[in-house]
Amino acid sequence: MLSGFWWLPVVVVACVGDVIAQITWLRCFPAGGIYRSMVCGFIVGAAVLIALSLVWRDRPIGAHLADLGMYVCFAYVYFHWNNMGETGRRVRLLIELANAPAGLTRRQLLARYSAKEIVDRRISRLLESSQVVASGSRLVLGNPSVLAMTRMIGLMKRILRIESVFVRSPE
Amino acid sequence: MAVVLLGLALFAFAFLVHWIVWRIRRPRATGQTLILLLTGAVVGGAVVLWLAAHAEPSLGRFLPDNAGAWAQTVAFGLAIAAAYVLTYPAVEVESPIMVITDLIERAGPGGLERDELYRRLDDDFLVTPRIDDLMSEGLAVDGAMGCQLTDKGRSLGHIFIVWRKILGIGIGG
Repeated sequence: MLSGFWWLPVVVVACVGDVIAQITWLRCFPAGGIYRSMVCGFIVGAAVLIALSLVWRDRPIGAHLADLGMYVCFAYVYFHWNNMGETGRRVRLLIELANAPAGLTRRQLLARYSAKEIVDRRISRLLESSQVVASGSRLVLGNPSVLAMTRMIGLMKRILRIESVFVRSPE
Repeated sequence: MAVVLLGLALFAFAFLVHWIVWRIRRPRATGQTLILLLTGAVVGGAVVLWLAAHAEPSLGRFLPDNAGAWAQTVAFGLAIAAAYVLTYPAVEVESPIMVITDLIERAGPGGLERDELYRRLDDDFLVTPRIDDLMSEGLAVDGAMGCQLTDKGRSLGHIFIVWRKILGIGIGG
């Protein structure tokens, strides 16, 4: 009966491998940034998964595919976990408030974390990845992959009937 | 292949339940509700199918045939659900980077001035609603001393602080 549960240690070890590789890479090569470290972690974890799957290859192909699916989902969740810490506004606000146990007024909170900082950080990321290009003092669209993601999110909003910001945003 | 197909089907069922509930009325604490709803639907759907397989043995040929395969099926469905839960904040709350990209694209070939982005994406648009989100999710309260974290918020905040230290990187945002 226990042999039916072999998928569990295979997937867990692959996921742990991903995390350890990602942290190690980031600690050793911090200049490469967090996103490159996550790619490294994903590759290492996938290699571990493939190796372990070859050891226990006498399983149906569907079981191996499910293992791969679970690992990819974990890697995706782990990416978002790290991305939340890197870019999440609510996470930043939580951290600011956690570092101020006596509390912060809204004005104090906005002084520590403002819309200008949010916009500046995003523009820097877009310029670094060439999603946006500076043309004099103006910003123009470069590589449109973020825009493609925006369109997909827009479709999900329509499916779930969630109002888009462009209905609310001031002109 | 029963594990893969059934896992996908369980998630599809959970998403359908989520879609119906959201069409009726979107809950206030969407994150927590979504986690409970998707988990309940995946696990509940698996339990119903398992009971059906025992009640009607002819269904058994389409379903997993041992406890390990059932567990793997549920785990796979939950893994997809977890991936969706982490994607959902980008659906509900406009990601600033997507808003900026969209505004620049709508401005046309001439592009957009940075100052125009500052003007349109101000504190009231980008920060204040997120502070309100912390209140509605029970992570912070607005009291006489200003905004303070609840025990739940403090725990979550410290998890991120510790995690960033493990990674060896500074504050994000």
